[in-house]
Amino acid sequence: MNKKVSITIQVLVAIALGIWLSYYFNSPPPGEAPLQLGGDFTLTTADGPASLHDFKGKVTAIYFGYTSCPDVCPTALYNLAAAINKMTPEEQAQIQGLFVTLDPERDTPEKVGEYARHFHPGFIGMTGTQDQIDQVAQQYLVIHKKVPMPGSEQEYAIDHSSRVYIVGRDGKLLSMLPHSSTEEDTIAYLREALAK
Amino acid sequence: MNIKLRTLLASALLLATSPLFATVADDIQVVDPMIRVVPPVVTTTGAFMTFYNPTDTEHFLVGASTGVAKKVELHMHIHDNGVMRMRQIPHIHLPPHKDKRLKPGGLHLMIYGLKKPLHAGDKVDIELEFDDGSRKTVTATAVKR
Repeated sequence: MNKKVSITIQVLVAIALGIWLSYYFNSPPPGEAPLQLGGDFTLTTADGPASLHDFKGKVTAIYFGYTSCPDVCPTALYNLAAAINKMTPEEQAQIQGLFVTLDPERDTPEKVGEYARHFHPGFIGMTGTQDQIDQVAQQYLVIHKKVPMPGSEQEYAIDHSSRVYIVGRDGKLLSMLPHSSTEEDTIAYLREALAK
Repeated sequence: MNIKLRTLLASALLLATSPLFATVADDIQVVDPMIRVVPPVVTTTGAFMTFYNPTDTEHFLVGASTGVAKKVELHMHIHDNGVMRMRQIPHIHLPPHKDKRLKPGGLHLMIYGLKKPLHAGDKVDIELEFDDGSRKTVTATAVKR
């Protein structure tokens, strides 16, 4: 091998290494895809199937719970409804409340629909198959677990994350409000989402 | 002293002193009892109130019942990193000279099998049972919150 060829190979290797390195440092490390919370889903309402993208242009506030939840879910939903009711009619018209059940076994589309409307006439209740619910819960990082309650009148309860998810007009998840959020917090986050 | 006489004396003593020994139900004060209005499709709800134990002794609420529902259980919530875990508990501890507040997201009376939907402002009697077996009825107001 003469000297000229050897240098050419060295240059080519250096260029290849450079290209590879630039790719390596610019792309995320393998196995760690950028965390994408939220996103579209299609579930069942009392009026048939509905998807998150049906509400594009509006800000949506999503709550995951179950109708036999006597305490945590009503607290969160009464709070969300009270916050929305304190906003101007123009603002209210641009907000859609969604209740997604984590208990599709007991919660029929009619039941979740009526449940959701009790808190706010505009709220929509959604259910689906267990797989569909698990999928949406995973997208939104909602922890939920069926827990048997031996000796209790209720055969099982569902441990679950209690948060309000605020989704922007473009369908992108903007914020997750903790259970302890006040009406004022909720209004502030909804207004922030409306301004985007 | 024969047995009959002793029994008689004991009974007389008990009768004479009984008004001094108030029951737990007489002692424990209950403030602001409320029951939550839930959607008519749901027959489970919660009731909340504040207890005050003015005595020097610890006491326990051991049970409750109401005519408007099938069953009342004592429940609590554990907040675990944003996850709400609800559990049935055998009693609610009422420490001496302290308030014990039952409130949304914490300790509550879990009410199963409502016989008819509640409306805001309805008055609901709830019978509370304490550790000495004594009972007291409180009237809870139905609230939409």
